[in-house]
Amino acid sequence: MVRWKDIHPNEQASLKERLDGRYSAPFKQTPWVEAPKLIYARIAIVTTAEIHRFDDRPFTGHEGYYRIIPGDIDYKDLAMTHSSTNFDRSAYQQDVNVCFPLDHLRTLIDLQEIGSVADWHYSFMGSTAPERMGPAAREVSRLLVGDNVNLVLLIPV
Amino acid sequence: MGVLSQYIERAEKDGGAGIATVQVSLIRPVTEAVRPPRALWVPFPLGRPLGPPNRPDVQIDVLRQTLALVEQPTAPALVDYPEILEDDIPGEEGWSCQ
Repeated sequence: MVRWKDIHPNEQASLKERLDGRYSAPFKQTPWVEAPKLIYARIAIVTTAEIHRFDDRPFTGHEGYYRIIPGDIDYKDLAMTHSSTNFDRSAYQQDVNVCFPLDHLRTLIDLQEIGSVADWHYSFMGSTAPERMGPAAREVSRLLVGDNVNLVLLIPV
Repeated sequence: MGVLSQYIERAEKDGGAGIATVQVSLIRPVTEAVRPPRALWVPFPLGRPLGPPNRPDVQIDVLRQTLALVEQPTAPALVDYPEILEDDIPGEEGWSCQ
């Protein structure tokens, strides 16, 4: 398992250089809309852990497309097809909540800390070029609006 | 990850959803480069964005602190989750192929 701080400084410098080239140009500004009070929040999870329904199409390469995960999914019906060698899957295999915390969102609803959870959630492949994710991200944006989501929880892996 | 917030939080007329986003960050320099609106950097290993498996107490705390970013008054907001001492996390049995 790797933390960022454990990566060799030369590797960190190389990654930072590539990141600057990859991300700086398309995103000079930070978007901003007013967030809802949590008690009124309807929350969807968007993850880049490349998880999907077991019977859905596996992720391949650095594709920019997404998979839809129903809000009533049973964790045992999920699969992860992330191809990166930079992290180990043992945490996910033991406990899906480490990267897809639907159980915990339901707990927060029961505690009346948040409003509701979306009917649908979305999974992408991480480490994908921003321009490649653009069309799918715009499509997911429309779906989120249609599901009356007003707060999106983004989780990497 | 933050790339998606750049799309989703944009106004609908610009192809986004106009929906507020909060996110967990595992690699701080990436988040610094992408500048998403609201992010909580966590000190966990890759593959464990909400913390150790089978530790709902830690995971829910991370989740609460991520959701609490809705209270941040300005963007980009990049907040650090407190370092967790290794001693605070119970040991795990090693997983390996045999």
